[in-house]
Amino acid sequence: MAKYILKRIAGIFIVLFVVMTAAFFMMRLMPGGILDGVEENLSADMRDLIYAKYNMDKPIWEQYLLFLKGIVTEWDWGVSLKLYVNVSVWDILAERIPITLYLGFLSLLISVPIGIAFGTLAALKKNGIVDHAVSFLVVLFISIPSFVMATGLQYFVAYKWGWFPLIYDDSLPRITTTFLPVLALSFSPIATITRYLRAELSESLNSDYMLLARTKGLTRVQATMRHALRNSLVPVVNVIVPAFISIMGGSLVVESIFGIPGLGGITVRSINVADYSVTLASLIYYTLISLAAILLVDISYGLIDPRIRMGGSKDA
Amino acid sequence: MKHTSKKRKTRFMCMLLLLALLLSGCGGSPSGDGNGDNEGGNTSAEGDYEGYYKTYLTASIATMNFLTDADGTSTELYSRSGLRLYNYVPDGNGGASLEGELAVSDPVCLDGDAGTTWEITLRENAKWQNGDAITADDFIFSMQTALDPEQLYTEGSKAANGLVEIQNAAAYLEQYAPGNSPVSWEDVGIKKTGDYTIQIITEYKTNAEKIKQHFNMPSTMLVHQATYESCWDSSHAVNSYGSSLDKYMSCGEYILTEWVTDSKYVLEKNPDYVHADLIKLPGIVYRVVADNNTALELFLQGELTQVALGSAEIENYLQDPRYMSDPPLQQLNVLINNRNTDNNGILNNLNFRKALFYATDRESIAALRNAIPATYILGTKMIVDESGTTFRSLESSSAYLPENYGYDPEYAKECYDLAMEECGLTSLNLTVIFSESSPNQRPIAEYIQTSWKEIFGDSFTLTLDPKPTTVAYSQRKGWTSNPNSYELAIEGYVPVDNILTDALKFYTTGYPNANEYNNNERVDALYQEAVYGEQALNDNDYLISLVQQMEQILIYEDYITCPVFEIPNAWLLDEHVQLPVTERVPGGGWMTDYAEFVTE
Repeated sequence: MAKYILKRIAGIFIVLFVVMTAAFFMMRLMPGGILDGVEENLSADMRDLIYAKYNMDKPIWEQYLLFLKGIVTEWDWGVSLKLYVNVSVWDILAERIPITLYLGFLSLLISVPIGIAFGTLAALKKNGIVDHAVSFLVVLFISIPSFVMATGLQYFVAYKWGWFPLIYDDSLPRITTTFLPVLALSFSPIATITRYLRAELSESLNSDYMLLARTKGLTRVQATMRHALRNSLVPVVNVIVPAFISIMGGSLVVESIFGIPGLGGITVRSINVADYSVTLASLIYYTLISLAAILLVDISYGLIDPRIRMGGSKDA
Repeated sequence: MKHTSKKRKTRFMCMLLLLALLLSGCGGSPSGDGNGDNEGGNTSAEGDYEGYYKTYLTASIATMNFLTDADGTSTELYSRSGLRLYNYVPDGNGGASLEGELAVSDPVCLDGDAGTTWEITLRENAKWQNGDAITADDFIFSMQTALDPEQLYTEGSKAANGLVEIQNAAAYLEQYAPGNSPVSWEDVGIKKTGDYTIQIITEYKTNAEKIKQHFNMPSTMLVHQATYESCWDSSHAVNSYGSSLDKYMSCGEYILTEWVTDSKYVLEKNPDYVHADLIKLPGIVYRVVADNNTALELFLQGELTQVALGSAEIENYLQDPRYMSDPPLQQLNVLINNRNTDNNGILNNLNFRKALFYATDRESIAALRNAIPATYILGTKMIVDESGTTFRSLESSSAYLPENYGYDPEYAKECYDLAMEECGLTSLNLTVIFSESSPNQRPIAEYIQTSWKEIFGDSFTLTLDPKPTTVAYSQRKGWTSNPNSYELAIEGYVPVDNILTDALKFYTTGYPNANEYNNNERVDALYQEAVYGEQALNDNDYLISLVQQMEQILIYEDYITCPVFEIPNAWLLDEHVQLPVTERVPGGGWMTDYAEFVTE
């Protein structure tokens, strides 16, 4: 198991390196630059001097080597040049990651039990009115993007009804001020988990071992909870990772809508204003989170279903 | 069995702990300390900051270091918490004037007619937020920092030669450019002559008003030496001054007291400020609200004191007593890249540019955005004197403007046919680039796509090419290295409203970042005369006539660009707010920092 995890971690580093390299070149090749918007007031000398100061007068491959050298020798990922001028990108990230993670994990924490409950209910009442109602909601939640949900919630729940603040307000309890963004981010994963679990559980409920469990004297609920649900959860775990990654993706826009001081807002803005260091660092962060989430889920298979062994060789 | 139960309990406890961590916020606010004591259904922080002016920023502030604030996101914050030699102060009669802020009085000329050496006396009672006295050393250090040739602050250029050219300042700043000679700080025309007196030496003759305006620019504000020096990184290469509350020192009208990154910034009245008696507000709260509609909703909920209105919203609030409007701040033009060699160089054909100008139905396009049709370069907000007379209100400035906002489809068609013949073309397909996120640029592009085709006939096609703002910007500026980088583009610009020549600098030969090529010696000579000529310095009517001549040549002889409309600037202001000025002060705005709340 340990060997398997180490191999996977090594793989993560390789993927990170590839993503970092690709992102570096893509961003530098994109139009726009650090002096967009201020060039008008600079002389040609001044402009050239500023480009030289940040090594932007050099060929891109040389800029890349210097960037790598900075990371390897001094763990220097650079400073923000536009969004938070002269602040180390890791300081920028460190300040914002907690709230972004908070939104992501809380959404997931809400989505998983609700999704499991809805999925179970729909499977148990298959083809009944409850199932149809759940299926309708699932279609609705999947087809409406989180940022549209966010805008709708903001308008109706916050503005029209005044139940929650319109935007993030640090003077209110965090759970109050982030309730709507968390809710907006939760709809899609709830729908995804519900859909998968309903399908898996419907199949399990008709399987032979359920019949055996019932004949052993277990009630339908006992049999479902102890056997069918447990077996159906293994494939569902597979969708939790994409669901989490989708939450993180959704938070890029939802954070901006609600003015959440997280990483999502600055990732979008850093791309718009060509703040290379910030974009690169946040891309690395999102990649790392996604890869780590996948690894965690792979490891958790063994916990959910002890029959699954990770990292074993074929002849073992 | 007992072992399994223990494992379950452990798992359950872990889950509970995780949930508790999440609900408690796992890490707290990014900065600042919310008291979190609101209860039961009160979802607004309305009760806090009683009597404060509540406004918003559309993006988080980049830095409080005004020397590096490329995007101007924090202008309001540092303008209100920083100190400069001169600043706009309400006169008590509904107006405002540029008065000494750190300076005691107007600059005094020491060399008579030469007009290049100026002495300024500083107040002796000015203080930093921490109580440190402000002396001439602070000013010298601030200017030295602005012009630091190693840090190369983008705003340094403005400090060197924004409105007056300070002797050797630009040379000092750019001394490390290849081919430039070393310049010592002692050679720069900024001197300390006493603990509270400084001397400014300019390259060219200037006047007191220009000196005052120059030292009203944020790039000349004070930097606190001890704080600045504590902000160097270990290699002394990067300085993070202004990047957080503890890395900034206030000394202006207000003191920056709260900084919740990306969310909220609070300024509180500075009792030691030189004009503190005129400040009525206890403070100003800035929230970060990126979306205009959200800002409007916050205003309607009473959580903001003012809100800007988008063009689409203006009509809904025209009769509202809270409605306020300013002279338009931004003008949109269709740029014509006359260096483009495609289509046999038709964009460099004068008749073709004329055709585009007269084929543009500005009135109809402007109506789409509740805007003001424009057939000029200098917008309606440009003022010509201290009394606030606008350039466009002068009879001599409107005399040369065409009727019907320059819309003459028949003449446009004649010019088009002539141009096509001169360039040997039978059909023409042009592309117009514009910012996809701009609410004003797309309507122009879509309208001209249809209307120009109706006027010019089937031989003409205009393709729309919406792009991300930065991409459109780079493509527009790219003509210097690639003449065919774009054909037509829609662009907006915001000139400084009290400097007549500001908008015209873009059309002088050799201006490094022009949108389109221009090489008209007459315009260059007129610009030189307007900016540096002695007569223009002392005779405002003469300066106005020079500017009028330039505008006429650029628009009605060269047809160098195709103006379309000016965007109105409308906003809503809480009915309980009384502003200190009755009209927007050019250079000073509405001076909301001096506003007060009145009960009736």
